[in-house]
Amino acid sequence: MNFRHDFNEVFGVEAPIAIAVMVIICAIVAFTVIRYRAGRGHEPSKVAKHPVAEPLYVVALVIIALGLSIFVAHVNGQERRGLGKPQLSVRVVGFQWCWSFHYEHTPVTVTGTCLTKSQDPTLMLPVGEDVRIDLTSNDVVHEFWVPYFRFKMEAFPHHVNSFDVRATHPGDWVGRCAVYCGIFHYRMDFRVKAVSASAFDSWLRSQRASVHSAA
Amino acid sequence: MTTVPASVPTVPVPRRGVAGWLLTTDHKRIALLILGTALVFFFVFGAMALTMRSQLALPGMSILSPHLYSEFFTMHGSGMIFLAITPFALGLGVYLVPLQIGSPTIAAPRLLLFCYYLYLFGALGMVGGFLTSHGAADDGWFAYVPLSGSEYSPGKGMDLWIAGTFLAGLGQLIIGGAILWTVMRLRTKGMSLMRMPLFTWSMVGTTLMVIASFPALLAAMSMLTVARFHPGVTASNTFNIAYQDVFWFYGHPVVYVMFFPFVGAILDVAATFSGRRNSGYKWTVIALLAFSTGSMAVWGHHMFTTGQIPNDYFSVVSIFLIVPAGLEYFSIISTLVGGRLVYRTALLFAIAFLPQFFIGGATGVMLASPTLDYMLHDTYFVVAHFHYTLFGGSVFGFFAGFYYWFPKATGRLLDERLGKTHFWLMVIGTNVTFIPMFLSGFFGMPRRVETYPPTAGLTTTNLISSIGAGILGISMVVLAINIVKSLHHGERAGANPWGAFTLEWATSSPPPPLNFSEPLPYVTSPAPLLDLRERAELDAVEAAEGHAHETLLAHAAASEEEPER
Ligand SMILES: [Cu+2]
Ligand SMILES: [Cu+2]
Repeated sequence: MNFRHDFNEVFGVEAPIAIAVMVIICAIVAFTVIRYRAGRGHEPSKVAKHPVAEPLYVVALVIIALGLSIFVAHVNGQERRGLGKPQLSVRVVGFQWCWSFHYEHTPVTVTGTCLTKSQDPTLMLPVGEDVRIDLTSNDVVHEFWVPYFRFKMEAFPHHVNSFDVRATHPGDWVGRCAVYCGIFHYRMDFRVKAVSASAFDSWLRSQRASVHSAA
Repeated sequence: MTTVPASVPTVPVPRRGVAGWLLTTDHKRIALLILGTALVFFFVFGAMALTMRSQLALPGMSILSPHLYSEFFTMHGSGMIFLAITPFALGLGVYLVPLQIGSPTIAAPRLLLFCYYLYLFGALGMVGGFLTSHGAADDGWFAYVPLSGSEYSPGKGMDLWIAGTFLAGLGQLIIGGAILWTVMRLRTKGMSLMRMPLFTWSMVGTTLMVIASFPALLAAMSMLTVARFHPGVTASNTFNIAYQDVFWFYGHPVVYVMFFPFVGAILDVAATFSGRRNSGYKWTVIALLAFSTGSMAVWGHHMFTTGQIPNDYFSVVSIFLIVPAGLEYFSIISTLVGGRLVYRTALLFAIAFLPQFFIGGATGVMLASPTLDYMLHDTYFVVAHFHYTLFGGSVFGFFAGFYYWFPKATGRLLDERLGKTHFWLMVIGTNVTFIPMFLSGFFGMPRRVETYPPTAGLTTTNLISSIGAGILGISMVVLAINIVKSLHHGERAGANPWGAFTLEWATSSPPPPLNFSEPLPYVTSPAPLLDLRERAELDAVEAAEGHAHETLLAHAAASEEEPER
């Protein structure tokens, strides 16, 4: 469930292959355009079949497809096996047009208006711990995206999608809604802040206290 | 196998003037109505894209209100797909398939005319939303529920959009059926399936996908209709996720509907301007059919981030599509290698397609990997990806075909100098616009945002994209000038200006109402006109050799015994 790691692993394989094939195609096209221009006064080839090359090429393509898909499915499978039993669960709710983060089994809920940057809600996470996210929506489909995590998931009304995230070091990152959800979709940002476990605990305690004093 | 009916259907004397166009049953005129209408929409929805790009050029701009911006990206996307590129694809088929298979007509011409009007009025309905008080539809081209239900999108524009999409989709479904029927029933003498030109084969794949997938679009629009009248249905997750499944069951194959005919055009253009037969014909046909079959089984790769789809299955099947795609590449490239390449504008567009579509395809493989899609889905990376396939690929293929067949349809050649200007501006514009979008997406820009803050680090890439879009706008002006100028003053084309090999070039330009005024040769290969040419050359050689042979025989007989028999 370390999405950032898995992204880098797959990207690190697929991007170089793509660039290499791109270079090969450009080289063949450039060679052909120069070598076979009509100005050289040659006759066009009359050969229209390559009985050996064609089946070989098909086999090569199948092998590439097989290799790529096994690799991709393997990494994807690792991701699912990583789903553990985290201590902390946060219920994340998208709504038009902001987010709320409810720390389950506590009275603490963080939300905002998203209309100005200063009022974007912040999702606090302890560093080095798996955190279960239970994602849902109050109205239309939204999408919870934290580019730093290299991960996003759609938030459906009347349905909960669960996944685990883990911040490996302290940080403060931007998150946003990725799927169009109405005219203020472009403002539906939030922040993710990862702090040490002890700092997180004291933050949660202070939040509890303020909920109780308000009640 | 002879499939042309013994008695050619008689058509009434063509009407003159406007009625001669609006009530025509000539497949060529119906096709030109479809293509002309689609070209107008291509300019209109392209202009909307330019407006959006102007707004995104710098952070925090507001040329369009948030609401109007949403209407623009919705109408740009749905309009280009439903009303411009799909009609380009089917319109080329309506014009060319009967000609390429040597048929005097298309199957069901009256029905086809009716379908043109379904498309036209559907289109007017979709665009007509701009005249309503809430404006046009604004929920994106895939209009997910519950957002597109009446609770969250109360305007009449959305209703018009649903009705218009339904009508246009229905028209296109029947047009697909009519083209396939024509291929199956109206081939000329000698034209077996494996002697059809590759463009016609690409239309077989296209129409099979149309028939299999467009009903799902009608079903999706019906689901939306229910959600408009009874928004309560969207209180069920089953309904909401089913809508996504049904929509993408159409939404993925339509991507290839908007791709195949242009690959077909490129295959024909490559053969003609290389002066040789298509290389690897059989494998190309297999690839087209495998591709169309596979296209029906991969829709879930648009839904990896829903958490409600088997990601591994859809990922593996999607990645396997590189096999047929790779075969089509092989066919185009190996036709060019060893050819005698004549660089007319049509061939330039075909060549530029190769690297550009590869960028679209390779990033498509990345998006078919769930671990990458989790990051890149619904971002500008995806926007860049599908514009490389649809614009850098399909639209370039369309223009290859446009420059190639324009003289057939109009009797006049397009201007080559303006054509090449158009081409180079489009190559530069395409890459300057869409390469930076990959980065914008990677840097965290979701699609369908009307602006972005100056602190987001997205300013440079967006500014470059907007400059590229401006270059694309200029290229389209050059195209428009070329069309208008060449229609009036273009060089006369004659029957076969390119020395091409397929039957549409065996008749006058433009062809007469029943397509062919002279009997067609018995078809012996996918390149019947090349066969004729080679046979004539062979006959000439044989005649010369035969003469030499006779003198030799006479000489031998005189000096020795009887020659062997
Ligand atoms: Cu949103
Ligand atoms: Cu797809």
